[in-house]
Amino acid sequence: MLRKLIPAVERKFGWKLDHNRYLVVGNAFSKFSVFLFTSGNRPPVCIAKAACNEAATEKCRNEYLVLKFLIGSPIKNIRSAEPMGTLHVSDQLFFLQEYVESDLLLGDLPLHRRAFIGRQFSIAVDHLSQIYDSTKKPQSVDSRSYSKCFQHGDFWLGNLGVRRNHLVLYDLEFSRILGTPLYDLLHFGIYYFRVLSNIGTYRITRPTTDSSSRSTDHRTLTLQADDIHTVFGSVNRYSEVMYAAIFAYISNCHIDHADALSLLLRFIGRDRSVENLPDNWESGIEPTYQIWRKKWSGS
Amino acid sequence: MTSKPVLIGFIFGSSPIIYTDSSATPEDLIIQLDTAFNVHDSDTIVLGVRMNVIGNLVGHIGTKIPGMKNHAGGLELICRTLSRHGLRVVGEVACLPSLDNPRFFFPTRDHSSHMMLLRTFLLPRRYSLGLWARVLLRTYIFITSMLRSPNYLYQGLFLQVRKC
Repeated sequence: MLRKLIPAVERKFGWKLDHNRYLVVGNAFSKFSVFLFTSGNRPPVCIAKAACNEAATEKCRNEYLVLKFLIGSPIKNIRSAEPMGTLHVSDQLFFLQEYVESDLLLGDLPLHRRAFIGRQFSIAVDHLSQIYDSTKKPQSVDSRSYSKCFQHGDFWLGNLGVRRNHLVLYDLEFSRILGTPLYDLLHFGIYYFRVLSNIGTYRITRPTTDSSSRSTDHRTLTLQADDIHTVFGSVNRYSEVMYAAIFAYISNCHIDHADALSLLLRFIGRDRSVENLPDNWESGIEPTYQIWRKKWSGS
Repeated sequence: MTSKPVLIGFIFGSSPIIYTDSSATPEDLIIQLDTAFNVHDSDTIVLGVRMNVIGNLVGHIGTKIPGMKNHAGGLELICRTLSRHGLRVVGEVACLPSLDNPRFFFPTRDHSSHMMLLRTFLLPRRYSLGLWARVLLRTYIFITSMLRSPNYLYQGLFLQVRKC
């Protein structure tokens, strides 16, 4: 397939690509990306994204449409890849996009879980407030204090880069042009905690022919009820940083506390699929919210 | 000293067998490999080969010593063994992080895509590695950046093999 993809891309753009150089990356949800290079030791010029089934193709298509939206309605200090068209090669549909080089925020992650960096929450709040201001609809939702706005949908450290004071957004397949505010910040906070929990869980093991013990990856990627409790439902150092970020965001975006709390409860109860969430999960959230609200409004 | 490659499965061909513990499904893996390899026909099979990195390295040094050429291990040994059985290796793709959990595929002869993969994808994701894996990754990147064609360092290879 690569023998046909590279000439097809060359014909489309008039480029001279290196036929012996490529990188195929298997992504989550049955998608994969092919990085294409010109000759010489240069970064890739183009990424061809494709999917292994129909559901994954829809995700790729959604990302492509969102990239077109972001190019048409640019957001200050936010950068994303430029969409470069689609190609059919041997019955496989490829969505082409520019390769944007950046420093991944994930690379700044501390190597010990107790030493997390609150500075990254400030970066997230600043940029998400900017996104809300630039993309919010004029009319508010059901006479509430917020409007629909652009939502990345998978706003975590691994999908964020920094390049020349711009935040670079990657992997926009879960994005919504008419999403809800606060969603991305809550997603950022809860997945930051999940990533911290996964520090040091990818181990080297001796190669074995026994397939049951072969995997070296011991990370937990799905959200757990304990994550929700630690980040939103109990008083600790992490929830303090999380709630400080929430309050800064709603202050920047002029969202009132009642709406913020309802968005938070909706995020946990409806938007996220959390394993083993107990029936009374809501009981811990509101008191914690009020404790930190009192502290931050009093200080 | 020679490496002892372990043939772990046929990917394409008449009897497809794939892993059960990979994050990618077998179907995903087939499509990704099909993309990486240029040709896939009935005369071609793809072998997943787990390499012994230390053995490869020693084998590689062995080829630099006069009179030790026949003691070379790794990929060279596999190619010679296959050719004795009327088979020819027509395509080679290395994979990372491991053969059992392959996610990244690149040509074995292309050093730049290998370095880009290490610096752009794997280095920022080092947080999930344990202490020894972090030390190993740093050492691996250091050694790899010093070498021009470090194809004997790969732990997992997919070989496209055709009848001569």
